[in-house]
Amino acid sequence: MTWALLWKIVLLASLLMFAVVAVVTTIGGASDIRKLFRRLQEDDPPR
Amino acid sequence: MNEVVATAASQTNFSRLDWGIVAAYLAISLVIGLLVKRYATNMTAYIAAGQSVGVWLGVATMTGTELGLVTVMYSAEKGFKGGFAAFHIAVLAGIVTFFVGVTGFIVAPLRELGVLTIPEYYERRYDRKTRVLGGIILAAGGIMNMGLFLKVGSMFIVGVTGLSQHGWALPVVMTALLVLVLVYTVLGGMISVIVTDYIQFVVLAFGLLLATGLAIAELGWNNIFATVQATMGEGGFNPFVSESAFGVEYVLWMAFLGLVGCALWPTAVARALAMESTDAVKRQFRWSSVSFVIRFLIPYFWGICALVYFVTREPELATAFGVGGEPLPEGVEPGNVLYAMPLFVGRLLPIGLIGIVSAAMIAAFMSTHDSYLLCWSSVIVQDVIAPLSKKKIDARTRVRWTRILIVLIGIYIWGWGMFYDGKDDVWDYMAITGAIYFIGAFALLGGGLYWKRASSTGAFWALLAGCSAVLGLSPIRIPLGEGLLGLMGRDVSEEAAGALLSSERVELASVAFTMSVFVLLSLLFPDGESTEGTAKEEAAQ
Repeated sequence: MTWALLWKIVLLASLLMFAVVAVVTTIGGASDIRKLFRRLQEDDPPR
Repeated sequence: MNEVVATAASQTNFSRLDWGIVAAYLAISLVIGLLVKRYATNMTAYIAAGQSVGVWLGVATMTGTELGLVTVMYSAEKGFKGGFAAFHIAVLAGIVTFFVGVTGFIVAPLRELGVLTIPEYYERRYDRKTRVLGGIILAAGGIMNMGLFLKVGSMFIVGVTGLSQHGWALPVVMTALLVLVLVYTVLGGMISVIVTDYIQFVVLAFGLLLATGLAIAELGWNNIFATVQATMGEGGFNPFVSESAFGVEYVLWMAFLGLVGCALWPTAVARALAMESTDAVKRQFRWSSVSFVIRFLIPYFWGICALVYFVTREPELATAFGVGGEPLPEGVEPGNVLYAMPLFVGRLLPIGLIGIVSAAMIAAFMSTHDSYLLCWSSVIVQDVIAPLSKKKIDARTRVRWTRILIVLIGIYIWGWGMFYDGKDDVWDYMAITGAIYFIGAFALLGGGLYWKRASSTGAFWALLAGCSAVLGLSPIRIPLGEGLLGLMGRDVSEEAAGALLSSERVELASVAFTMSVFVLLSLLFPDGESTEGTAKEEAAQ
């Protein structure tokens, strides 16, 4: 395998994986934000 | 600025609509920061978001922090100068982050202990003086490390908007961005940081992917690789060959840097310490390994695309940046390569999209600044001022001190950005200044967590030995190399001095020196019974 071919594969695979991570994190992160505020509010209600 | 580069800077697609998009985005971020301020009622909430962050939000905030505008800029510079061979840095960073995610190396036991900062761990494992010295060195190295953030981030803004042709633009943009980020960080603390990190993640992730797709469509997949081959030869792909910008020692240094960048770097560790459990920390790192690859890989690729664009479409601009084969006329300085990527983006992206990507970049700039400012200031308060204070400092006073320090550090980075004139690539500058902290920290954390015989004497002196990393900065390294060449009776020149004492060679030597000091002094001066035992045992008790 040449270095050029290796970097082509790395680039394409990374872009693909990042696209998946971006979608999953966007959805999961929104849910986590709601949980975070609920927990902070229970621990110490905002003034 | 080089005249050709200055003229080219005015040719950008950035329009009034894009300015409007940027302004709207910044206003929304500021409002969110103000809205969540009311939750920052104590120090744990202010600097660690109540240690209640879930996995996905953890991945978003880790990416938001570590993928800053400065990252995009210095990585594009590396891609422009080093071609695809620079990709090895991204791959190594991803592999070691995944390794940390699988093993929990350093971060999991730290989270298990429930500490808020790394020097706090030093006190638990070693002693108070090690905590204070560790806090001072961490803050000093970290603050120096972010010394160029403001300038380099502002260079993107003035480059992409076409303002870089005006001499006044850079200091004005630096000042405006600094004021914005200071107001925002001082008000909200970690909760604001995490929420806006999330928004930034969403906008930036899709913006990066879209812009990368557009670059490939515009330049052609095969053309990009063929042009790099024609311009750089084998050195544009293989990081080990002599004609590349790297070499074996550089690759080794990058592997070490990848490990400490995710497992020891305080802003990354702060994200781990804010997680809800050690299991969540490991999952956060496993997923973030993709982001740790991408945060380097995409900007490298943009830098490469900028090179290909200028070489194939605007050869006079390529020459002005010192690439493409045509020599510069006598007495003409090459343009600053940091401007290459913003100039390319300003030509590539259409109106509207360029505003969204720029807004995301400014958000990246803000999220990195707020995290770093919060991190260094809270370390100074928690690990230097509080332990040295004779009376107990209450939470409200600690938050006030943290806010004052945020402003003082902000003023420093403005001045440093204006006046520092080193010759290192920005990435190498950051690696070296960061090493002042993390070389010592690697010994103390690794030794403290996994080696029973690590002692406080070894730890204290290892922290000081780690400061030898500063010798790698070009204003110190080059004169030192010239002195050594003189002593060896060889021809003295700046180039020969740089080859003899390359920054990676100095840093690897500093790692070896620090580890030797730590091990030898730990063996020669062991701690008493009361302080022996690993921190993991302490946590288990």
